[in-house]
Amino acid sequence: MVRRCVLYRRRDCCRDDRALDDYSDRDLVNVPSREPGLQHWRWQRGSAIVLAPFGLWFIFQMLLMPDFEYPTVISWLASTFNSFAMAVLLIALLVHSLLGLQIVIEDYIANPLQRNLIRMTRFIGIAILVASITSILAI
Amino acid sequence: MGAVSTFSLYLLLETKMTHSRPRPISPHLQIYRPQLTAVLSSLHRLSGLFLSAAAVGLAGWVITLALGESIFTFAQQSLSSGYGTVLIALGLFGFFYHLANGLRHLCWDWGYGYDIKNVYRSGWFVVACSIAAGIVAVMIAL
Repeated sequence: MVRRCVLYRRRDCCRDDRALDDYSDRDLVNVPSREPGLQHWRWQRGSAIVLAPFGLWFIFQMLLMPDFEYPTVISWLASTFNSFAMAVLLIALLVHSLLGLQIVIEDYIANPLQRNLIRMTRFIGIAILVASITSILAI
Repeated sequence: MGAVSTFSLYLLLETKMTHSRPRPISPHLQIYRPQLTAVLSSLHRLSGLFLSAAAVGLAGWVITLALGESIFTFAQQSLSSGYGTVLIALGLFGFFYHLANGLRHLCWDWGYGYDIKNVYRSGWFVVACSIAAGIVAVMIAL
């Protein structure tokens, strides 16, 4: 129980806190939550709204691409608008998928492992995001 | 006597309750009749998981573009192989389904379409739209 309390203070994501935060004012909650559920909800919806047009745009661009030779794709990605939209798409995509994966992990996996898995997915996702944005900038 | 009559009344009530009309069943997935709502909900989650993997693949594809021509052509070759084609087709279907059902979720978030009739209508609409869009996209892509 003591260990659990310690973990509760140290961890940065928990379903119970989220429920409390959703239904009550922050002052009423004893343990301050590092990640309020309302923020999670808002980011998920916000990234979804960004993803809908940009994802459709990407699918259309891929379907309209004449061929997938290296020079064609490079010149496609080298244009200002395309690289900008690609960066926005990747950021929104990774944010949305990290939030969704967090929900799935919270639903099916018990706590010590749950916390580590969420941290690991976030770390991997952010690393992938940084790498892909860097390569867009490099082109 | 009192105890016996109470017990028989209990038996009578119990048989009446269990046999006169079907009682609600707890949702054990093995015996519960699949309903559109539940199936679409779990499909949303499954397609989301698949699309997360696809997102990693997309980021990797962009990274191979920066790494050079030989690596990019290798990625393209593996994408146009049999397995790659199947994965791309699945990804297209999953994308359109997740998009349509996500818009349905956004409508719910804004407070529209909450009654049972509209939930079923929008559910079948989502199924039809995603299958149609997926078939068209796969036919163009292949």
